[in-house]
Amino acid sequence: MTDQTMINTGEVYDYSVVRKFAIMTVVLGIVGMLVGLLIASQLAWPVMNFDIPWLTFGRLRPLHTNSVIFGFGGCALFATSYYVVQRTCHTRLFSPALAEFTFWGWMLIIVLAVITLPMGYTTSKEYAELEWPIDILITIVWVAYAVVFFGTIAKRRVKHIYVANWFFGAFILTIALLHVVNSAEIPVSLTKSYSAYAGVQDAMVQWWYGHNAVGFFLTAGFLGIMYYFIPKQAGRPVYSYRLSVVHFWALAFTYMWAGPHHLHYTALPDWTQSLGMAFSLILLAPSWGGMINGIMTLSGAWYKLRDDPILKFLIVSVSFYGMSTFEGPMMAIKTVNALSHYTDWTIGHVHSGALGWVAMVSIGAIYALIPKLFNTEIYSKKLIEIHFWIATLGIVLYITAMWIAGIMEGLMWRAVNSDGTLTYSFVESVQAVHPFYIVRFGGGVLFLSGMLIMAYNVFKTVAKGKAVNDAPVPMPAMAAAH
Amino acid sequence: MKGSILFQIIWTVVAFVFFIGVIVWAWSKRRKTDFEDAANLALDDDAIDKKETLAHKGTGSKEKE
Repeated sequence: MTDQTMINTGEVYDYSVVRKFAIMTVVLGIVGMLVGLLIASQLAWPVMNFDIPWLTFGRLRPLHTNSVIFGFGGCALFATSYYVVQRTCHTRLFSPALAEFTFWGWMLIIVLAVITLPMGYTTSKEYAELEWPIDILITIVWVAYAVVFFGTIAKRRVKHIYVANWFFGAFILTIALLHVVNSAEIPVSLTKSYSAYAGVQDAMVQWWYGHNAVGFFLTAGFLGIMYYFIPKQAGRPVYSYRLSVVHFWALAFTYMWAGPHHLHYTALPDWTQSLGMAFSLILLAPSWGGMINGIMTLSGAWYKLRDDPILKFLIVSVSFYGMSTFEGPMMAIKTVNALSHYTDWTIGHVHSGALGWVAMVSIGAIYALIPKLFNTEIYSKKLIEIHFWIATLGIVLYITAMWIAGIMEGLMWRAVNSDGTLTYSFVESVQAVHPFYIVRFGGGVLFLSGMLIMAYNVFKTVAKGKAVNDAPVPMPAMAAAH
Repeated sequence: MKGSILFQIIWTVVAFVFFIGVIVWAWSKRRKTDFEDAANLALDDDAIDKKETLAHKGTGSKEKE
């Protein structure tokens, strides 16, 4: 491609909102992981709640999950989706003003979460704890997000909608649906509401939401990142575009039905549990198809892994994706679940997905984005390399500690004496996992340290760069060639 | 047969046929060039990024492509 074929459209990309979300990804990552570290320390040393109600585990745990999933992960998704949809559609955002609104709206939601959750206001629905006024605000911001995203797709200058945008689009649509259905509640005051559903229906709606939040927020959205940033960083197109199309539809059809595996051996009808288990097992196929597609994009260019730490983040994230999407279906098998459920194995599984996949792919993408948004090179490649190894070591410590703790708990809880009495009291299992809670805390310290290194690196990069507000939108190469 | 059961059966079959259709469509020969074009959407603006950086440094003419 020569300079002559690059004809500009006269438009410029809107990087302003991308920049804000990219910076806040790092900030909220640190906030959310710091809260996580505090509550991990409380499990190892209960004194760490300082006898202050606002700092107790029950109130801070939802703050941790909300700020890492919706704060850190959410900002990464907003930043990358706004960037990718513009770049691959060769057009400016549909409405930069509305995009700006989604940023400030999202920040307001995060601030409200930081205030209300430690005060104890909660709907007590996991990953949907925020009370009804905030739920309404989320809906408004999300609709604005959908308008900006799909509006941009609608005004694209290219014929095709790149596969990353399909994943981002599915993520936006599905989260809207999940949020509205699961948050149906009856307010009794400004700060208290009750779910519109009762009993086992409530549980099923909750885990239909919960598992699809994993499937479409923490998977589809971040697969959108994978399908853009891995080809970009590797400098070659995705391994198989066909496979990416099948990957998309297989994921969309299968995830919706896997939720009941969160409710094995409960009041949920047996057939529903078995259905959830079967679909969870089927999920292995699209998940691994996607993983292979991401990793094989590097086929023939493996040497790039050696000296590109951003690519290391991206490829290792996809490897963790493969690992946790193997572990997940396995844990959804009822007999395995009988051992793993309610133990720390679940916590280990979640974090191999959340730290290994979601955080690593986001971190890689943000490192790739920041220099482009500030027209400069990254301040220190060496520090990215250090961040990569510290983060990887942290994850490995975290998940192995939780595997051991979880399986041990599962075995101790089910052990019975020959006369049918329980071999261990509950507190004996608590005592047994204590050393592993300390190891987990150590893993968390490492992972957070990596984020602090990232913050320093990003700060120095931003300081030496200059915000780009005039990146021209080029005519699509294909249109120019024809 | 209850209506809702019939609906579930029809929906399952329709979803299955649709999915098989997606696979056949994705692997059809006619899609090949379209998919190649689509796959390149992630990369075809590389030159612009490089030009931005180079133009900034004032060496825009030395682009290596």
